[in-house]
Amino acid sequence: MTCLQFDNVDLRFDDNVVFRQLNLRVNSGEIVCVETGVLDGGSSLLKLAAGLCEPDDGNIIIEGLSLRDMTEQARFKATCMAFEDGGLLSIFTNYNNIAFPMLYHTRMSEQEIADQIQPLAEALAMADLLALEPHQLNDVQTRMMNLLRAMVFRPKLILLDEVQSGMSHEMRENMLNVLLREQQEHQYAVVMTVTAGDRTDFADRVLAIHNHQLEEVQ
Amino acid sequence: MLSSLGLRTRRYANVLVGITGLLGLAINTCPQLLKPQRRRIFWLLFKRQLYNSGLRAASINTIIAVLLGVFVMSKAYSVIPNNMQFIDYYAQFFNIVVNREIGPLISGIILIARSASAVTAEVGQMQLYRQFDALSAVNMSPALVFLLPVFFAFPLSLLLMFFYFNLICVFTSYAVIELYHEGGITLMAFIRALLEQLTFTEVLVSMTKALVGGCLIGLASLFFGYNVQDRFTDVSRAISNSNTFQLFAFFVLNVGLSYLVYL
Repeated sequence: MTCLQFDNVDLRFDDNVVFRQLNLRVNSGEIVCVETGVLDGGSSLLKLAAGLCEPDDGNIIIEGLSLRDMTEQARFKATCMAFEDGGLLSIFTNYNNIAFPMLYHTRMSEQEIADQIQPLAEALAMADLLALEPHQLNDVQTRMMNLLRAMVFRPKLILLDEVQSGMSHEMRENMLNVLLREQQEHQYAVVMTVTAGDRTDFADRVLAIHNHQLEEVQ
Repeated sequence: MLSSLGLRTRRYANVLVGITGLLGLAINTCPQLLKPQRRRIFWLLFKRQLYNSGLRAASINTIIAVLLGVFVMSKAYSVIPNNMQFIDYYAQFFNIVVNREIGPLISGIILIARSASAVTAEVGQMQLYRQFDALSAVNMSPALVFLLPVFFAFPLSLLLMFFYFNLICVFTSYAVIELYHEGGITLMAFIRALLEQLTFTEVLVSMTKALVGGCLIGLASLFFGYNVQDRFTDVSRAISNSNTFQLFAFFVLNVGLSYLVYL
């Protein structure tokens, strides 16, 4: 079943064309890596899929529903984006950045939410950072906290923006192991932007942005 | 000069339109509180806001109330004739000066200086660093997370601060009597004299000042914070503009209501 579908999507910022007639299909449970360079639209692609950015033309569909017609609750269940930088509200602790959206969208109790966050945080070696505030994290930890949040939410589609950047070898291996284990268990689709030096061997497909379109990498 | 006056009037009109829009949005968002999930997140944020804007202002409120109470009521003591009706005049003076005017005004100024500036800075910084994108990423409504807690907590905080300010002033006013007066007036007799002076209209006007004023101050903080653009100086400018507008609007509200009802 198709999880994410881009139909003839156009995106431009003023005169700068980012995507022209872009088409993409990602199946449920599929992992797709998108190789990106500087300012070629990698983050914009994920923001379009997360509904954070409106296409100038075309349609974006997640699990058969047009993104623009979804309620905020339906979007929460459909997709979550992990940002390359920022993405966390500075007025909440890191823990509350994960727990508050769950309190907001689900009927889970605070204890149930804690039970869902804690094991994943421990697996990603992030448990000690939960009580801190976003400004106390470095850029790698910020990306990891974004990833943790996306994994805790367990939507149908997880969008990861250059999550591997700046990580040590051990940290990257551990993060990918946890991500792949969780992805296998919960069968969500993953779209991950990657840059030079990042691992892509775990992906079902690797794409690259070329000439305002997505092309398969051989 | 005329064009500058026109521009300023237009800017203030724009602010009023924006604040009215936020008021409409707040009222429109209220039905979301019927959902239990929304209510529990609102409740957490509302308590945080009430604690920051209302309870944490208690110490500065106490200091100002004590100083002002001692100063104003000492002045009153020195001019009120020391006869059989002393306590009634003294209570009447307290009611007119502290209860009707100084109480609401000082409480409002404390709210603007402490909490409204903080909210403008908080929202302004979030706007500057595009943190509202983070809120959109988790599909949470900014109206429920930021607008409603301020919309409800600010009026309630101002009401509590006003009540607390008056309470402290009652005790300091009585302390002045205890210090200077030799007529043996008890605290209960003083409170009874105060209550005799207090009318239902005065309670209603004071509550209106607190609730409408608190709402106005809170919405103005959010409006100016949300209008921060790309420069860091926009945040300081937003705080400055917000405080100026809030002081002006709150003063007009106080004077206007007092003029309409008491004069």
